[in-house]
Amino acid sequence: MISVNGPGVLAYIDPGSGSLLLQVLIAGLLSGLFYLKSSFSQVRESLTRVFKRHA
Amino acid sequence: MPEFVGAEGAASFRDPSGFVFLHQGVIYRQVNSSYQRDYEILVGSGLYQRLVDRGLLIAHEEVELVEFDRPLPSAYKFLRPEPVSFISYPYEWCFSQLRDAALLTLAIQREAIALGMTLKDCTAYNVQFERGKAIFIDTLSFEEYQEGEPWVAYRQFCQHFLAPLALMSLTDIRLNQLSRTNLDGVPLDLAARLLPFRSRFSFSLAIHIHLHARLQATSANRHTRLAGQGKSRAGERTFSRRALLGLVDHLETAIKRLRWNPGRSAWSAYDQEHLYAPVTLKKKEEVVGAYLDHLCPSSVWDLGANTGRFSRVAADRGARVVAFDLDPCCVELNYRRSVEEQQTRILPLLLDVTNPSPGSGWLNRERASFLSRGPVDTVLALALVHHLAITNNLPLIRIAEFLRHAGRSLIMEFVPKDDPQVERLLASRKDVFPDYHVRAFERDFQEYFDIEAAETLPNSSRILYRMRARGGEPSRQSIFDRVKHHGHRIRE
Repeated sequence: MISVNGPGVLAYIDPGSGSLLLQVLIAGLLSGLFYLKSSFSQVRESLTRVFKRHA
Repeated sequence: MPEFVGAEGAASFRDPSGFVFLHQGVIYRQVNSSYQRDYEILVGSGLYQRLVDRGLLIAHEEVELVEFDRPLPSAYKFLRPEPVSFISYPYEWCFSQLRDAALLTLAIQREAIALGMTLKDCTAYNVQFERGKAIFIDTLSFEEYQEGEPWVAYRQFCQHFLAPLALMSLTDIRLNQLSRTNLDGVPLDLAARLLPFRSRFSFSLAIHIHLHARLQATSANRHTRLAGQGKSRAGERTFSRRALLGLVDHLETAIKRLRWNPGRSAWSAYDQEHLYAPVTLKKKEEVVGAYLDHLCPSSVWDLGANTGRFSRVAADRGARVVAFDLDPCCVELNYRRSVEEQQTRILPLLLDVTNPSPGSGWLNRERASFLSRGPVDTVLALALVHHLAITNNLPLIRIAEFLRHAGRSLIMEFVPKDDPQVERLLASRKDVFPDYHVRAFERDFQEYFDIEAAETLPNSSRILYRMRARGGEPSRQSIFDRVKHHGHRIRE
């Protein structure tokens, strides 16, 4: 079974073992999506800059 | 002796970081010494100031207070947060209010991560509405972010925000009432069961609700080893910072994708259609305005506010108004309009006057009942009495008693039997209301109020009254302790 770093001393609510497990399972997917999103906005930013200069 | 009043006691007594209490009528928050480090990071990192400047978190002052004579967890500091003018709860909010509360929570989480902190709880009760906007009130919800750890508040976010919003949007708008009985948000297995089958084809709902519910069920049965204080497997990042930011983004997209548009329900149409001749409506606005000028209330409850036409008459005169209505469509339209107008003095909320929010939670006091959040300076009860007396069979004297507990003065519209609206209500039922007429109305209300003014509206038989409550301040004592037995009045 996955051994997950327990919540900090003051995280007093029940995080739910299933909820922690789900996050670990989809971690790769989520970082991927985030990476895509930030690259997307970077590309968009540079494109706008290029067009502004040539406007 | 510190008092715990309504919401103030709520997360407080469960949270080891500190608690909220009332002292000489002012709300304070004690920060326990166990929370010292996190509090210092909250302030030191600049997160507190950043959130307050953006209007996302309630501001507070650090104060000196005398120690209590009762043994309490040792205090590190005392905070005096800016007061919230009216406490409200998620089961009283319309769709867009809950949505704004969800987006606020995620925005705060994002800002927190950027400065090395994270939210340790995501209950909808951390959010209140002040000056027309959602604001986060739990200053002690933040803890230091440990990279590699999944988000402990994820489950709560899904139950308090994502599930109810999905249910309201895809199944039925009335399902926000599930929050009344489920104080920790809608259980995910229940949400998964109630959502339509097509919700499984939404990527975000499939993961954060359906799969999430499945994993909750299986984990509950199997023995999952959680290393309590130990570190995760050497060096391995089980949940990176990027994954956490991705999760916050994904949840935000999921929330934004959920939409609900009020259809033309019987009530919101009410305001638009010509139930009042234009001259009558205009006169009604004038008279209500004049009565308000006379009473000068600073706080108003508009009961049966519909889309808030008369709430605005009061707000324009500087009063803080809470606009209550039974119909989710009306509350939604009122709120959307308030947001558009950047209205700071109106709070639209869902309320059934015949079944108002009860005290609930621990000791039935964790969440305050509707009446305990009053009384206010003036109550507006316009186009309401016939719905209470006729539709709901409530004797006029009891309506008067209720209104007496709600406010110190009253602007009330009496709708007589010959009014087309009442005729419509009586069309399909037996007229068992021999006492529903002006004389009886005035007599019954005069048990509790002094009638200062009355004016009949033109082209109508409706009468607008201005009344002032008799006797002193209604006490906080339960209304049931003081109810007179009106069941058997001797007929004259």
